[in-house]
Formats: sequence, C-alpha cells, structure tokens
Amino acid sequence: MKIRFLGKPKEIMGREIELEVGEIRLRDLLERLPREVRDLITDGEKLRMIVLINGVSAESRGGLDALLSPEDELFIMPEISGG
Amino acid sequence: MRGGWTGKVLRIDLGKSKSVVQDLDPKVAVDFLGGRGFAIKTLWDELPRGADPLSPQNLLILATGPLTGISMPSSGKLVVAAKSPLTGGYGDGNIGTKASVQLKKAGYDAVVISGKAEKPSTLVIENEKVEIKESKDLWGLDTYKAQEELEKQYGRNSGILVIGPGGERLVKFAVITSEKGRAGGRPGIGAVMGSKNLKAIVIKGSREIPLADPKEVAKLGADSFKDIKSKDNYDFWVRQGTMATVEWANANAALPTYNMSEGVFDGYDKVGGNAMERIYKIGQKGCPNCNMPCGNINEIKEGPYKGRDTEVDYENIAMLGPNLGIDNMNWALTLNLLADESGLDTISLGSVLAFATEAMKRGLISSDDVGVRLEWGDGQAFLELATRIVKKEGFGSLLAEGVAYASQRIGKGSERFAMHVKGLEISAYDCHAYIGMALAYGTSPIGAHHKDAWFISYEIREGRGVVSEERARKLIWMQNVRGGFFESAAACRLPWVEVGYDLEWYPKFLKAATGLDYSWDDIHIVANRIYTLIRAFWVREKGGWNRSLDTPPAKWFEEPQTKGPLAGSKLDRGDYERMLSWYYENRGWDVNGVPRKSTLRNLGLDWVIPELERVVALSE
Repeated sequence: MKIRFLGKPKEIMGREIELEVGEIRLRDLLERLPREVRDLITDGEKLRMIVLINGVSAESRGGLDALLSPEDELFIMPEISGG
Repeated sequence: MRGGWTGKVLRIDLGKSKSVVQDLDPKVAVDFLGGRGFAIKTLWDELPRGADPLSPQNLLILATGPLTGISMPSSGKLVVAAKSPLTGGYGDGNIGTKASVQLKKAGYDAVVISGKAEKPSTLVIENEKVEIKESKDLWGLDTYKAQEELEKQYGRNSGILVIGPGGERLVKFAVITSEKGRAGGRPGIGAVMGSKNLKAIVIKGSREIPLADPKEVAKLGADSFKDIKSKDNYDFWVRQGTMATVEWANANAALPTYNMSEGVFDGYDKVGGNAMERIYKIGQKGCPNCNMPCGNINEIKEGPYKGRDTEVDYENIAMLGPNLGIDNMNWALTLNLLADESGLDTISLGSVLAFATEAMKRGLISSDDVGVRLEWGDGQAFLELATRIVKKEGFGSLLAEGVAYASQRIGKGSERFAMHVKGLEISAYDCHAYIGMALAYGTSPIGAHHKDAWFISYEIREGRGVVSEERARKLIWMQNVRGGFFESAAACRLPWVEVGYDLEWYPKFLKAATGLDYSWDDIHIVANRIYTLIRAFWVREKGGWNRSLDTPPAKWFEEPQTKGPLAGSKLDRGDYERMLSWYYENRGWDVNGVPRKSTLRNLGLDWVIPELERVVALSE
C-alpha cells in the first residue's frame, strides 16, 4: 500500500513509502509505522492529522476503523491554520 | 472591574490637539470583550452613517482585549480598526507588536482617534502623558526607516506603529506596520491613519496590567508555555511556521496560482517551506509573549534588493509567488520587502498585480495602458508596477484603489475575475474545490479574509464537497472562535490549530484575568453579538443589502481548474446558495443576510433596530 506524507511525518518517513499489507484497519496499519510518527497521526482514540484514502477523508470511512485494501493510497498530512 | 481590562479608554482629537480619558462601560467590556468587539461597538455608536472613510470624521481605533499582554501564550495582539476606505464597510486587522502590551501597561484598553492633524504628526502616549508632536522629518520615510528613527528617539522597547508612503498617499490597501514587517489592517486602515496626517504612534507604559488573580494567571501561563513546547510538532512549526502551507496547499489543489485560476503550481517547491529553510532563512521573529514565533526572516540572494532581509509567512509568498506565476523565491521576497517598506498589504498587492496580468492576457488592457508588459513570472515587471502603485503613478493609481474598483473602471467583463468579496481581495486559498472555504470568504465580516475561518483543513478532514446545514453551522462555530473570540480577547489563534493547544485553556485565563466565569457557550453569544453588529454596520453603510455581497467572484463558479488532483473542480451556484441560506438562518439573519429584529433583541442589540430601520425593512 502506498502512503504519502506531508509536514513532520514527511521529514521522518520521506515523501512516500510502500507497505506490504492485505486488507487492514487504518488503526492497525498505523501500528506498522514508527511510534514517533504514529503519535503525530493519532492519539489512539481519534486521528490528530488528516488522513485521505484515495483522496477521500478517512473520517467519512470510519476514522481509525476504516477498512483498507492493498490497492488504496493513503495521504497523511497535518491540519494547519494558514498565514 | 477586577482585572483583565484596565477600564480606561483614551480619546484623542487630532484636529483640536486634545485628549481625554474615559471610563470603559463595564457592560460593554463584558458583552464585547475587547479588540474587534470594542471597535465595532464604538464605530456603530459614534460614526455618522455615510461618513467618508478618509475624512476626519472616521475613527481610528486601537483596541486590546482582556487577554492582551498577560502572561499567557501569544497574548501580544492589538486590533486596529476603522470604517474601511477599501470596502466602505467595517474594517480591521490585528497586529502582533510591543505596542499592544505597552498600551495595556500605559493603562488603556483602547485608543480612539478622531479628526485630522494640521501637519504630519506622531502621537506619543506615555502613561497619562499624551502628546501630538509635529513630525515633518518622518513623513515620506519608509516604514523601516521611520521605525529606526523612532527607536532612536524613544528606545527599542517602545511600542511603535507607523505607516509608509502607501498610507501617506492613501493607497486603499495600506496597512499599519510595526517592528519592520509586522502589519495589520488589510482593509486600508493604514490609509485612514494617513488621512489623519498621523505618521506614527509611540506607546510606552510602566504600569502593572490589573489581574483578578495574578497568581493563577502566572501558574496557567507557566503550564501553558510548557504545554506548547511539549507538542510533537513544535520543532517543525518553529522551523517552517506557516510556510509549510505552500506544499500543503499545492497538494490539496488550494494554492492560488495565476490569479486564482488554478490550485497547483509547478514551481511550488522553489517558494515553499523546504526551500526557505535550506536557502533563505536567517532568523525568526514573533509577537510579545509567544513561544512559537511564526515570522521567518529570509535573506534575498539575488536581484535589486540582494543582501536585504524580509519577514514572510504563507500568505505573502503564495500571493506574491504562485499567484503571479513566480517560482523564484528572490522575486517573491523582493516584492514582499517592497510592500512592507511601503506599508502595503501583501495579499491585496498580489491580487491587484495578478488581476492586471490576467486582464492583459485576455486583451482587456494593453502594455501601453499599464506602462509595463506583464507576463506571469516576470518579477521585474511586477516590481515596476508595484512601485507605481506606491507612488500612485499612471495605471498604478488605478490599482491603488483595489481590485474591485479597478475592475469596475476597466469593465469588459473583468469583474468576473476580480478576486474579492465586498471589495477586499481574497487571501491565499483557491476555492474551486472548497465550497465551505468559499462560504467562509463570502461571509467574513471584513471581506474575503482567511482570519475568521480557515475552513479547508476541516473540509478535507470531514469530507470535501459536503453541502449541508451542519457544515454551515460548523463554519459559524469556527468564525465565532477565530473572528469572535480571538479577535476580541485579543490573542493569537495559532497555538490552537497549529500545535493543538486546547481551547479549554482560554476560559480559565479569562477567569483568572477578569474574575468572570465565561463558558464557551457564553463566548459564542458574545461572538454572535459581534458578528451581528458588524453585519448591521455594513447594512447601515451600504444600504440595499443582498446576497451577492456575500458571494465570491464568478471565476470560481464558471472556469474549472484544469490541472492537479482536483482538475475539473468548480463551485456550483445552487450548492453555494443553499449553504448561504443555511448560514443566514443559523445566524438569525433574513434571506438577504440582514439581521432579524428577534435576533437583535436576543443578543441585547435592541438599540440597533431604530437606526437600521432607517435604511432597511427588518424581518421579525
């Protein structure tokens, strides 16, 4: 599964990574990332950052419980407030 | 009053060279908090309907809030407000400067300046001593030189507010600046200062800011500063600040490009936060009491200003970079420095230059008309035209009136791509794909400014393209927090969104500072009152109010983005109208966006009704 990053997660992970996974919950996928990145993205209860699944918000697909397939593309970015 | 507010307002009549100190009405303090709240209450009460914004009648208001200057994160804000010469409606801006803290320490919640000085002057406030000094020697200086001269005379710790040649010459989007690069008052508040022959304001205070519970403020402050520093993304924020938004906006097809025709820009990375960190950044700057400073100081490496430095954030660079097709950071920085030294708003400058370029590309104006051939990405041409705007020479004098006026004069359908709402140029987010943010711009109380609601993050997180009453209600909630609370309290909103500082800190600070228990529900009532009074002011001043005044320009509805991940996106008029109707209903305004009588009564604004009924029939 392809995952793209912006902001601080990008500094740690690089622009894009690919993970070998089958069908998986977003919560479990994030467990596969280094803890310092995971803690930026979620507090375990809810998402702290914006996660897009194929361009659509993960919130609209159940948040951390969203079910992902290997073909999905994730885009993870911080919520920011602008100038 | 037990604290937070000083309880005093300084009134200055420049024409009569007189000042007087008045008590602040405690009910006004409780009902309107400060900052923006004080400003609109004062303008409604005291400015005659139809007053010319550039006449001595207009009031220039500097207003702090109950949180200004206290020992808490990002409390160094000051609101500057007046009737706007750019829009003809309510105008304000906030500015992070020593002047805000010094004003509270001098013993005042606000300063209200009327009249016009006979000669170029500097207003000097040192506690109870108030002087209006002739300052012919400062008139004509740019904002940097004026700042330096005043620092020499009054010391580096003085609060100093100045205007540049732009404000002196009444450019309609002139700002008030401070400390070389801090600026506030996008809707021409700098021109209002210029119209009063007021070059500078110097403020020095030596009193303690009164607090209901100083020990609790100190404890909350210490805990808060620690909390912010412990946040996971704190270090990244301090390095890039809002400049990280260039890459973010590009990835989300919201980066203003070619006069907001597109949301992505090929050269975005050359003018983004990463390039800044790697090549240009030489320092950092922030407001008083801030431990997450957003001001990035960059050195210009090439071009006519080579070797100079300038403070930037996302808005400046997006509007003076991609929106002009510029992928060379040196040119974006150069235009930014010119704007800051001249005392012009960078967002509006980027917008008028882009508008002129698009008009030339479409063949509506020629290089003979403008005096410069405009091409996307041609920094030299933009610098020449910007210089003419500052001097109000030739075509520059037309653009100095703002994009709305310029498009009306040019005609030929150019209004369709004049990127403004209510006369204020749209700040740096393309909204082809963001109906919620378009509504935020459409309903912002000063014209199309992002500060009241930055809805794109929320929209992406909760799902783009949703058209619902709940979405409109969420926008009102966000406006109330950002434009109602933060602009009135007055404090910076960035800790909340950028590093996740909890909103629940703020009622605690209000209680410790003022002794009053404000819940967030109470704060939303205050915010609703402020938004409704601002709307009443617009309706009173403009007359004939209708929904088109709350609607973005035609381009976003008619010409889709052609590139990037959201190519093909454009706004749908029917959807926008539905969202606007829900917005009005939930604000308690009628189908035209005019406050209902019942809403005015519920918010304790009964006294507005008789005057408003002189210009419009109010719904029950």
